[in-house]
Amino acid sequence: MELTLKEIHKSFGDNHVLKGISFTARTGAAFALLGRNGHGKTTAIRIIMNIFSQDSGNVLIDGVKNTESKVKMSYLPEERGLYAARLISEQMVYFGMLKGLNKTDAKNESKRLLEKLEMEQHFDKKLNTLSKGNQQKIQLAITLLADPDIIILDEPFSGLDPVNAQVMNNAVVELIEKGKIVVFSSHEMANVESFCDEICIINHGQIAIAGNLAEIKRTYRRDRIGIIPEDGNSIALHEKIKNFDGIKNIIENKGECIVTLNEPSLKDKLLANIVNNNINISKFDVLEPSLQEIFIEKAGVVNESV
Amino acid sequence: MNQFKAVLGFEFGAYVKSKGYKIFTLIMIAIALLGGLIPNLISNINFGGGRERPPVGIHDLNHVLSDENLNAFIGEGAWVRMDISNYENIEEELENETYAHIFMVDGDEYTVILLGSAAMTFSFHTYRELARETHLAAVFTGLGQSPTETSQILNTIPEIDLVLVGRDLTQSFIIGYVLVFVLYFAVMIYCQFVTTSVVREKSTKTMEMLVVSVKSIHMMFGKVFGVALAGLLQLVAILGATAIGLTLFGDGLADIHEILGMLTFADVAPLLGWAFAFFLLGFFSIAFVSAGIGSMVDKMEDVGQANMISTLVMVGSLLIAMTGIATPNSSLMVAASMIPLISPVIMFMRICLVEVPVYQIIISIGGSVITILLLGVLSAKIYRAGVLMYGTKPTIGNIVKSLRKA
Repeated sequence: MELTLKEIHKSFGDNHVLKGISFTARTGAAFALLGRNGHGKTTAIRIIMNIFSQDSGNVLIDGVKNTESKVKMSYLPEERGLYAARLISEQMVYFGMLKGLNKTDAKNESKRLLEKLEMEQHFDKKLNTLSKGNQQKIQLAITLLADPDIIILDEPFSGLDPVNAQVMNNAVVELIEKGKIVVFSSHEMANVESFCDEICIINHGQIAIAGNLAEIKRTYRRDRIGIIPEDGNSIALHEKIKNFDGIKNIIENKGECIVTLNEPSLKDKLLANIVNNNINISKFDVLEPSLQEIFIEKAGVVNESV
Repeated sequence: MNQFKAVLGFEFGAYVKSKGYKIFTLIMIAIALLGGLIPNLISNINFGGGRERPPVGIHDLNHVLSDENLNAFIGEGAWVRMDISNYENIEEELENETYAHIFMVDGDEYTVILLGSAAMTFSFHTYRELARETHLAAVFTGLGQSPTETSQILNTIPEIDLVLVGRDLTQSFIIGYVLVFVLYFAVMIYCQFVTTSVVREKSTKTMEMLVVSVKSIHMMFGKVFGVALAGLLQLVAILGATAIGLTLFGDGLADIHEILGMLTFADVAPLLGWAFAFFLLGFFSIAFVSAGIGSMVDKMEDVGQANMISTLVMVGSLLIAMTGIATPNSSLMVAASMIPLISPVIMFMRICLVEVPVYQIIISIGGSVITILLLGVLSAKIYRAGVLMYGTKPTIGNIVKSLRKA
C-alpha cells in the first residue's frame, strides 16, 4: 500500500501554506513528516485526513483519491483532547462505534489495546483521574481502534516519561511490523531517527528534502571521523595526531576526538598513521550527520529567507 | 446512520448521567409534586412573627357607617371604631401598627389615611364602594325608605347570563400562557446544553479527534437529537409530576384547581401536542444556530457570547408573542408566526388564543422544518471548519469565512 501526495497546494486567504509538496509513504515503513512549527506539516496531515481539501494536487492511496478510498485511516492529533469527565470505557466504545465497530467489538478491542499499552486497569476510570502521559496513551489506543491501515501520529511522544515512551515505542514498532503505514510528525529527532526509514522535511510549505534517511545521510561528505582513545585521554590523543597529514581540524568531545579531514578518502591514511604510531584506540568511526543536524541544516535559520 | 446513533446515544448518556441533570430533574419533580401544598404551608406559617394584622380604624362619630356594612366590606373583626382627635400624631400610630389605616367619615366627606409605604397594596375600591353604598343609603332614607328596603334595593343585582358561541379559549389561554413560558425556557436551556457541548469539544481539542472519525452531519444531528431526547425525558417527567401533584395535593391551589377541574383531557391534550411539536421545532432550529456558532468559540468562558444570537431570537419571539397576546390575528402576529426561528413560540401562542387557519400552520411548520434541515447542514459545515478556527470571535464575517473554508 502507498500513500502519495502529488503537488499539493493550499492557501488560507493570502497565506500560501503548501507550495506543491509531493512525497510517498509505504507499507511496513515509518515515514517522518518533519518541519518547524507553522511550516505546513499539520495542514498536510489535515489534507490527507480529508478534514479540508487541497486547492490543487492529489492525495492518492494506491492510486485512488483519499476522498474515495475505502482504506481506514486514523489520526492522533498534536492537540490532545478527550472527554475528561467521562469513563474511559464509554469514550473508547464511542470512538470504536464511530469507526464502524459494533458495541461488543468496540469494547473488546478497547480492552485489548489498553492491555497492549499496559493500561487495562484504567478501563472503568474517568479520564481526568489519569496523568497526562496516561491520557495520551488512551488517546493512542483510541487512534488504533478498528485496526486502521494508515496511522498518522502527530507528536506521539511529547510529554511521555521514558517508561511510557518505551511502551508507546513498542506499540508503534508492532504497527510497522504488521504492515501499516505509519506517518510521524515530531520534533523529537532521536525518536524519529530510531523509527523512520523515510523522511520528508517541509520548510515554508515546500519540500526541503525527502527520501530514505540512510541514503540522505550518505549524500553528506563522509569526512568526519570519531576516534576514542583506549585510555580515555582525548587531550593526549589530540596532541599525538594533530600533525598527521590531511587533518583539517580536531574537536574534543566527551573523551572523543572528532577529526575533520581535508578529503573523505584520507580516512584510510589516518587509520594507517594511528596504527603505525602505536596509538591505542577503542573506536575509529566515520561519523554521519544526525537527523537533528540534517533538520537544522534544511529547516533551520539558514533557510529562513527561503 | 450507525454513527448518528452512536453520537445520539453518547450525547443522551452524557446529559442523563450527569449530576446536574439528575439533581435538577429531581428538584423540579419534587417542586411539581409538592407545589400544591405550598399555599397551605404558607397559610399555616405566620410570617409576621406572631403579630396579627392591625385593625382598620373607623372615625365615624355620627355612626353613619353601619356595622353590617363595615363587616361586609372590611371583614368581621378587622375594624375598630376610634376617635382620631384622641391621637396627637396619627402617623406614629400607623407606623406602630395600631391601625392598618384609618377611614374617616365626616358628613359627606370620606377620607382614607394610610402610610405612603402601604399605598402600593391598598385597595381603594373597597372604600369607594363602602362610601357609595353609605351615601345611597342616606339618600334612600331621606326619600322615606326604611333601612331594610334600602338594603334590599342596594343588594339587588340582576343576573347576567353568559352565552359563548364557538370554542371557549379562556382555559386554553391560561394553559397556553404557561406552556409558552415552559417552551421558551426549555428551548433556551437545552440549546445552551448543545452550545456547551460543542464549545467543550472545541476547547478540549476533542473536536479534532471527532472530525476524522465521524461525518460532521452525523455528529451535529446526533448531538442535537441526543440533547432533545434528554430534554424531552426531563420535560415529560416534570409535567407528569405536575399532573400527579395537582391531583394529589392541588386543593390548596383553589384557583388553578377550579380551572383545571373544568378542563377535560380532550381540552389539554391538543395543547400539549402542539407544545411538544413546537418545542421540537423551536429547539432544533435554535440548537443548530447555537451549535454552529459554538463551533467557532474555543473557550468555555465565551459560551455566553455564542448563545447571544439564539438568546436574542428567543427573547424577540417571546416579546412579539406577549405584545400580540391581545391581538393574535394582527398582521404582525400572523407574519411572525410564519417566520422560521421565531415562529414556534408565536404560532403556539396563536393556536392557544384563536382558531388559526390550517394553511398558516402548515406554512409555519413547513418553514421551520426546511430551516432546520438547512441550519443542520450549515452548522455541520461550520463544525468541521471549526477545527481550524482558534482565537476567532463568532462574528457574522467569521461565520461566512468558516463556511467558505468548509
